[in-house]
Amino acid sequence: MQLVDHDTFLKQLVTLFESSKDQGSIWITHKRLCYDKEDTTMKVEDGVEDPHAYPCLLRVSNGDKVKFSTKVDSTDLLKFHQVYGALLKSCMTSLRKRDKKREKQRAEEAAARKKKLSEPVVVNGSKRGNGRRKRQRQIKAALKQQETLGKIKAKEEAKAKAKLTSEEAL
Amino acid sequence: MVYINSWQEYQDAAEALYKKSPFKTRYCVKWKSSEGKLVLKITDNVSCIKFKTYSSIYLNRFEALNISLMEKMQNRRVVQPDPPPSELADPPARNSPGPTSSVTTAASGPTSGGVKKKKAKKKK
Repeated sequence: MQLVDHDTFLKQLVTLFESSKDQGSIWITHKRLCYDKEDTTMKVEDGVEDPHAYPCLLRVSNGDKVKFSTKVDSTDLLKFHQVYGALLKSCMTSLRKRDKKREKQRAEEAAARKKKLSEPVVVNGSKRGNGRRKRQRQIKAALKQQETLGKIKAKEEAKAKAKLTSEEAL
Repeated sequence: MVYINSWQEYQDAAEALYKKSPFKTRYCVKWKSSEGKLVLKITDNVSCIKFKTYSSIYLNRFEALNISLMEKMQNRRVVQPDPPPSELADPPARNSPGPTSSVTTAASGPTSGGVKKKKAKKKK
């Protein structure tokens, strides 16, 4: 694992982004560096504010052979992040742009689905003879609707419970 | 599963997780260019939260979250005891005039030249 300085790090990151445009992935990990050539300080007393300032460790890999890392001190963070953030934004170009059409479509589909659930399924038609199959299908649809409504209710209750327990914990 | 669908929820959960265990939490970013997929993962080896996206609308928010988390990692004291202002003022003052003066002279060079040119034209 190469530990490099900021400029080399950023340059290597750029080349890595370019080399894995069509194939492969890039992993970037950020972590607090509490190793100071001595024992790692991993415990802090609860309730006491930690007065130390730690450097931040950034590790980059492409999953295969390229691995490098850098340390960012608290004094350099702003400057480093300006370049780093701009770099990331400029390299991640193959993300889809804001597709208003698709978003609209999705929103419409979701609204239609909700509407369907709210309207009760009418079960009419003859039980025997012509229209029996249609009636069977309606019965099935009604059952399905009841199930989904029940599931939604259960989810909401679970959410509400989780919220309550988290609030109690706080 | 571990994936969260709303960005705001993910951001809140990430910051809460970091507050809970600042030493063990790591924040990982995976970028797959061929697919155009960005995955953010934050974990403290006990619980893990992920966010996945294909759209570029989250880039700015991602950058904001990045710097917010990195600041938390560094845990620098924002309010520092002020040493006598003269001491503080002088070294940065000494440092800044150095590069800035060169910049200003360089900038004023063409501008003053332009001004001179304008004046000359006006006189003409």
